[in-house]
Amino acid sequence: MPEAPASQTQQASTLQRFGLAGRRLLGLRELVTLCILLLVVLYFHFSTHRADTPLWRSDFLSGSNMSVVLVSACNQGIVAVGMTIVIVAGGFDLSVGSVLALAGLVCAKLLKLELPLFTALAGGLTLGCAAGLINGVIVTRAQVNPLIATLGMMTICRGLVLVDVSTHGATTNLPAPFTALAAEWHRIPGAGVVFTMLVLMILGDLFLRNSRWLRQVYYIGGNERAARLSGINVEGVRTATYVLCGILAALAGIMNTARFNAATYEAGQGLELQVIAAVVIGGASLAGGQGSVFGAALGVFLMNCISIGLTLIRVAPAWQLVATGIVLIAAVSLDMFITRRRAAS
Amino acid sequence: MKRHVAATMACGLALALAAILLVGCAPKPQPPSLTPTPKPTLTKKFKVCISTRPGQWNLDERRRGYVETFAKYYPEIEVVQTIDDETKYETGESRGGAVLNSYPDLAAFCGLNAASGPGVAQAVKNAGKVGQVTIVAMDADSAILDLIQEGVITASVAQRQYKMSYLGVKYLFGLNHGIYRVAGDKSKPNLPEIPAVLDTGTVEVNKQNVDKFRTPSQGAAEEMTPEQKTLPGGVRPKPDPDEQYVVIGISTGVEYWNACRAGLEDACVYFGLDPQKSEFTGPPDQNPEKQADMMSAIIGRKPSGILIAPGRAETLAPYIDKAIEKGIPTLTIDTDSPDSKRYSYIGTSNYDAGVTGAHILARALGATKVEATAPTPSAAKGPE
Repeated sequence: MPEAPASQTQQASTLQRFGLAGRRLLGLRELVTLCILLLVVLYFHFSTHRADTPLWRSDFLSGSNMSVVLVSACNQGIVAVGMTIVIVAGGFDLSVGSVLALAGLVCAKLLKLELPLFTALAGGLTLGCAAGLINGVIVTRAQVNPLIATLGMMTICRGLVLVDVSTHGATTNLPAPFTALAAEWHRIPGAGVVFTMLVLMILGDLFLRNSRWLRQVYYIGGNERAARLSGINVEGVRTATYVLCGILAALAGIMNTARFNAATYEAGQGLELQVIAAVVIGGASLAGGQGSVFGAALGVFLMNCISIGLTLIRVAPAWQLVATGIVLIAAVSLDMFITRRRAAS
Repeated sequence: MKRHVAATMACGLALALAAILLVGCAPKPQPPSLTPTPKPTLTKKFKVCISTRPGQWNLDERRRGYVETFAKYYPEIEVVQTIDDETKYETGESRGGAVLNSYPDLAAFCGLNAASGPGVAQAVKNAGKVGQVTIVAMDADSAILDLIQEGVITASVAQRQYKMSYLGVKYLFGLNHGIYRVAGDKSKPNLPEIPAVLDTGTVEVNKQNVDKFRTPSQGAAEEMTPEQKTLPGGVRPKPDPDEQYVVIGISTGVEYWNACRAGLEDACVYFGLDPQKSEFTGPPDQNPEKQADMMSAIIGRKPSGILIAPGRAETLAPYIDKAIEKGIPTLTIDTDSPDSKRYSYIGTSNYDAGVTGAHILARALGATKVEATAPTPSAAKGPE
């Protein structure tokens, strides 16, 4: 039988590769969230399109508005990377908002003492590391429920911020080299913070998918007993996830302080629930064993697009809360429905 | 493949339902591009956005002051949108940024709470519109003072919370030592009355006077006259050894309360009270229920007097009444509970604060003022 020509063989293998990639893409759990995000973007695009401009232009999809979306997503985006890993490993961390505030304050205080920038940054990050370590040890060694352990840390950190603010007021007027971390660059506002968020999201997703050490969190979250029997140091890995989450929360706090040139009591309030919601919308399971940083990123951008889009179309503030809740429930419900159908088949 | 088509259709259906609900629930005007462009009028020249936390009654009163003043005196000013900043810098920044995209010709932001100003200021900085968009903020927190110094915020409306606590302690001390009587108490006709309502007023903070506000009292201590600081006739009775006064704030995590705390401390020093015994307290967040619990506990300690800033008038009214019934003189400061039995309210008229802010903003924009037919109502002023 004559052999097929080389070009036809090449074409067939290219098609196979595309088909494989396509199936991999369509098999992504994050596909649902991506579809919802695209639909939300389209809805706000057409709602804010002005009649006297081309169809592809709108207030929502303008460069300036997209930069608003990116900047507003920074705190949630940075923290979501760490929170995803914690949730995949079967835990969660309610202290991220308070750690953000305290780390930003510690960094600001060190700068006010005229310590070098590097020292101040290290101080803030060390605080985040310490908070995460304490959380991890209490959860893994003392076997305290993560809800209680991290709730306690949340209260402690917020209380420490209150002690300082109630005595000295907000810490403001920070040195220019520090605030430059979040300054505009080439007409991109908050460029440093935005790039940090995007780099962390990309690296976080890559490592979580491909790093042998980090992928252990899926086994731990999926079946802790089996993971332990297969030789994984469950306590060590889980503690490490809390440490990483604490460090990233601290980084977000430092960036937040640089952006506003102020360390305040209210920084990061309510952040923990927003981030957990974003991570779950992105496909993670609160039971553990599922999730990705890519999905969490989609969840973060979805929530921020909704918030800013509703402001653009002038939905009353009270109704914005209702609308956001409806879309979140719809997104998660749809995702759960599709996942169960896939599992059943 | 069929499953994915079904998934996509399901997504679309869910979004369509949400969109219908949104449109149905929020009958707001369409964005300008979807309605016929109205003929330009000479009157609506300046577009203004208000940043606030809707539903908080003191902020709603300030907003009313702004809106009614614009309507009455400055027809050129139009409030195009109100955003919920959730009393957080980040939310004010993101939603303020969205408004700047929606209204590229926005003339100004008005911030109604302490976090509003810095939030929208950051949005203006991000958009590169410093100097093009005027901002009038509220209160004199450090971040706001820095932004005024930088020229990002034009001015702020500062309250005199130092005076609220200082005068509050003075009246309570005077009541306990037979120097004052409660308004309407006819049993001691020779004694001066404490005012039923005392408006401590507001002050404009701008680039010229901003440094005056960088003291613990935000400049209020220096403003007070000797007559205001002392009891009538300059008397200074010896306090009881256990005499103590408690100030119960709300959302005490904000910097605003530091000046109030300073007023309490200075009053204790002046009247010879043991500062360790008197106390400033209150829930760090907007939590009236927790404040009520704290007040219950404090009533049990039987302090010599209580100053309270009720987080919600209706929730705290029964606790205020209980304190009065137990013989603990109680005044409200900063926010009032008018239906309670409180002896006096010392604080800002939030409505007047909004009126003041509106006039400051109009002056900064250069808006034309028209004469109103009726005077603007305000809180009654009393002797200090």
